[in-house]
Amino acid sequence: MDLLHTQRAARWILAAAVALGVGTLWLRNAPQRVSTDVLDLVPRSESAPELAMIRTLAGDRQARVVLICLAPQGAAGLKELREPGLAAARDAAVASLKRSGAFEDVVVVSSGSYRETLGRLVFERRFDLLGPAFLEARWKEHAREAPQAPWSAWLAERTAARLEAYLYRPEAVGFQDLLHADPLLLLPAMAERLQGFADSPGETASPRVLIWALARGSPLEKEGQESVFAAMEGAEREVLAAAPATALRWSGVVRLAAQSRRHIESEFSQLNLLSFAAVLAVVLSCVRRPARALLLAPIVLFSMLGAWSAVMLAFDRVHVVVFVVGSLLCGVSIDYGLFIFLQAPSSPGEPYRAKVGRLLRPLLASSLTIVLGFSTLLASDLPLVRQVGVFVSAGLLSALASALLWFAQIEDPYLETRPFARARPQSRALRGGARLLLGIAAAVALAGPWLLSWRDDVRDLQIPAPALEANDRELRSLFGDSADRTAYFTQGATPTQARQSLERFLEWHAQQFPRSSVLSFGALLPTPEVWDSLPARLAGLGSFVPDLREALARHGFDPSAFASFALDWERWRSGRGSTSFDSFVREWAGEVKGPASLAMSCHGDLCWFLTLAGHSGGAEPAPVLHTLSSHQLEGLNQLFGRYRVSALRLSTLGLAVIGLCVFALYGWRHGAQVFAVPCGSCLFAFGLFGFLGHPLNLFHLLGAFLGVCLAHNYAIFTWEARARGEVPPPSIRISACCTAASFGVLAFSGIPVVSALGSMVTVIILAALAAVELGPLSRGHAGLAVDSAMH
Amino acid sequence: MRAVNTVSRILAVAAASAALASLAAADAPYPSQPGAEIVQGGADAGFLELFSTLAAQGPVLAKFTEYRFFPFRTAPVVLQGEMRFSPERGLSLHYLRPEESVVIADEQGLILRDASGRSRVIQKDPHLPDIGGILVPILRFESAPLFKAFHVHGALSGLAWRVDFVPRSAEVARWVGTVTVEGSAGTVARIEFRRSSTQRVEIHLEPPATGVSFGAEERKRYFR
Repeated sequence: MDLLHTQRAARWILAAAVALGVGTLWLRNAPQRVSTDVLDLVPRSESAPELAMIRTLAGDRQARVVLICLAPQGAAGLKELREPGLAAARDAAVASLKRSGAFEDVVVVSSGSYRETLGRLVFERRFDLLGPAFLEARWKEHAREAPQAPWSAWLAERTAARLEAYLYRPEAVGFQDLLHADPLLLLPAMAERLQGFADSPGETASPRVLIWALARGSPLEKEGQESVFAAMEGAEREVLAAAPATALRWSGVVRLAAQSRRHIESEFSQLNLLSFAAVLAVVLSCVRRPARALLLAPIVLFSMLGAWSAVMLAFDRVHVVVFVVGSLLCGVSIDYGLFIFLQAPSSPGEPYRAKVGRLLRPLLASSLTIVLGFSTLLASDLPLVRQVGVFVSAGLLSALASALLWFAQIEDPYLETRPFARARPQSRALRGGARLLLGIAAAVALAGPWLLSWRDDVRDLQIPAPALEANDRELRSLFGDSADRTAYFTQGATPTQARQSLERFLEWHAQQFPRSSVLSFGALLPTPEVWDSLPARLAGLGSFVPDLREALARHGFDPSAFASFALDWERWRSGRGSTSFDSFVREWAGEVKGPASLAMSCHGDLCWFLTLAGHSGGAEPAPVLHTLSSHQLEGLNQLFGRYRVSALRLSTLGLAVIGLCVFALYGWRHGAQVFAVPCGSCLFAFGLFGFLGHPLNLFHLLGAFLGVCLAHNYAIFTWEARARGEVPPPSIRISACCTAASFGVLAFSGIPVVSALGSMVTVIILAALAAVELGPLSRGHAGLAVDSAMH
Repeated sequence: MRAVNTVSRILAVAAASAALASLAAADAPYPSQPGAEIVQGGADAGFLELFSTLAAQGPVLAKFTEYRFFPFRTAPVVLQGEMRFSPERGLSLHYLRPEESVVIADEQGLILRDASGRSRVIQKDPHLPDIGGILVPILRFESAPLFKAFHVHGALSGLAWRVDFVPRSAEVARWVGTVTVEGSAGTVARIEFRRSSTQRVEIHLEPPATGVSFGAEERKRYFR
């Protein structure tokens, strides 16, 4: 009756838990909350400038750019495809891309028409863009050289003199078509500032068409990716119909992101299956009645369900890497089931409650201390770390609870192991070997960690796609990108702040890289101070046009040739209102279309300017300059380095919590014996990686913490058995092998960080198993025996 | 971003134009009108021989006076200096008056060097005509690239001659215009660089020293 009551209650509780878990996943619409966006790995509230910039770039137009190249296909294509054929291919591609609705802007950049359009735009807005700085510079000269002279007449005379002097310079011939409309020399001065910057897209003898397109949808979301892929397929079909010898190549964040998503999803399913299979294989090979081992499977499933439900309940978006990492739970969650299932009854007919009562102390000690330790990860700033903390904690608690409840339903909750799984051979030679191995391990643990190096790189979160990346590099080089340049992003909350920071950054850059040229669209704009002083500079220039006419005549010019300038100047001077600097910049940013529009952004609460410098690498700008180099953005190393330090702090805290629990439960002397196993294993793993010269990252650290917690399980189970005068149960070996198998699978992941985590945990687990096995063996305690109590 | 550089590329065209127009000699009764088009490999053996003679001259050093005509200017701007040409190293114009500067044109592009020796390198731009690649053959009188890039017209009047190079490409014609080289016997005396009657550059060369050799210091100062 009591047994029946227990079974029924356990069944109801399990059923209710499953219903709750499934209901949670359904209600929370779990599939929609799984993200492949790398930005979901870091906090939305992150204030680090790198991340704010990355978030902006990823969410902004920059990430939506698609680069397309049409070129003859091979030598045969080159022979067949003449200029008209390529033009037909271009027209077909542009028409198809525009018609698809997937793009909001499609620009042929190789025709030169785009550049002319942009040049015309700069010319039309020359007074607003370049006039304020011109007037400010002349104003200072006027104040220095002839403050008593009338401002307008002085400026007219200086303008004519500068123009005359300019005509003696070599570049004057090239600008002669512009000078009648620009006697202030605004555009030549701008060109001089920008010149010297190597801007040579890869030269090639073969004809080609370069098309720049801006997608409507987000490249990081599935819908956005699908629309672009469909549009590109359609464009390729129409291009081939128009000119069959044409090859269409394209690249963009969208393509790399889609590939990454596909890879990660495939990894997710493969790793989970492989992990499950590896664990099953270990268990089946170690027990006498393999079919009964399948009774362990529900515990793994309950554990996964608990972990998924908890993480979905706790977070709005969960990165798919968490689930890939979560496949480790297969190996860990089976621990408790094995521990209960492989323990022989202490006496024939021992009731389940009595058995559980006997095993509850080590089970609770191990699981609760691990959960407590992992709970410290919840204090991390990094969502990924918090998600892993919740996933593992909830998964382990679910595993323990479901193991206790599940075996309550089983008539005979005992599974006998095969002899080899219980064998404990001992000989003098083995004892010597064990001592030698432990000595080597100790040396590695003590010396190796000093050789460790650390390297965090956000690119490790993705699976490398060399072919796509090579294609991307090649296409970008056709569009003018070069590895010899460094891109800087100068940011501010408003255009005013960003422009002020840009000015300070350009001064810093000129000092740091005096021989390097820089190109910045932001530098075309006046500084906010100069913009604000413009009304005062213009105030005394009412008679500037007639003054200039006279001055030009004095300097040998035909004043009538400058009539268009006079008209434009008067229109600008009298027509400009009191526009604020911020409004002016936002308006200008909206006017610039095509590739140049990516050189600045003033949407939302982050404004930035792009600066390209003709050098690679070098000193990084100080935080006060609010400028980040592309190297910092690509690696996010500093940011992830900070997160690693934060994770290290939390892991240490978690470890201290676990240690305190162990000492509280087992006392100082025995606690030290228990605690030495996980700590020693961890040090050995660090030492091994140090000797191998393998750089570690944030994920190795997380793996080490997880490994320490698991190793701590084995140490507790072993110590508890010894305290009862028993030989440690075979479940410890089988558990460790299961865990090592599931993490070993992770070590082969194509995602570098998952592989890092898997390899670190595997090494720690195997080291811990070796420690609990070799320790007694080296002291000659174990004896060649099969524990009779296990039968 | 690159579009902004379009403006700076104008510098390249301008400097090259000025550079090209600096290979001339003393006044002479040159033909006033362009002659008939010369067809490469055709019957105009006299011009082909002239080209061979000029091409064989090797390095050249000459003083020049440059007249720049602008549509908004009542009189031309006048510059003076000395020209160095090396078939291997390209063309170097050392302006001396009104202020000192050096313009170097070669197959890699252009360099503008001021009096203090500070250089500004202007690279080739694939979106604009390769000015160096187009004009340096004129300075070398290399028949094959010349006939490929230009319609070549020749006129003779005694020893005096005139050759007009009309770009085949509309884009090149837009930037460069027609190049007219005048001379007497084996000497270049004047080069005109004409986009229109009000937009042109004339270069008058004093009798050049041919077969000169440029020393290491001179090469460093006046070439790339």
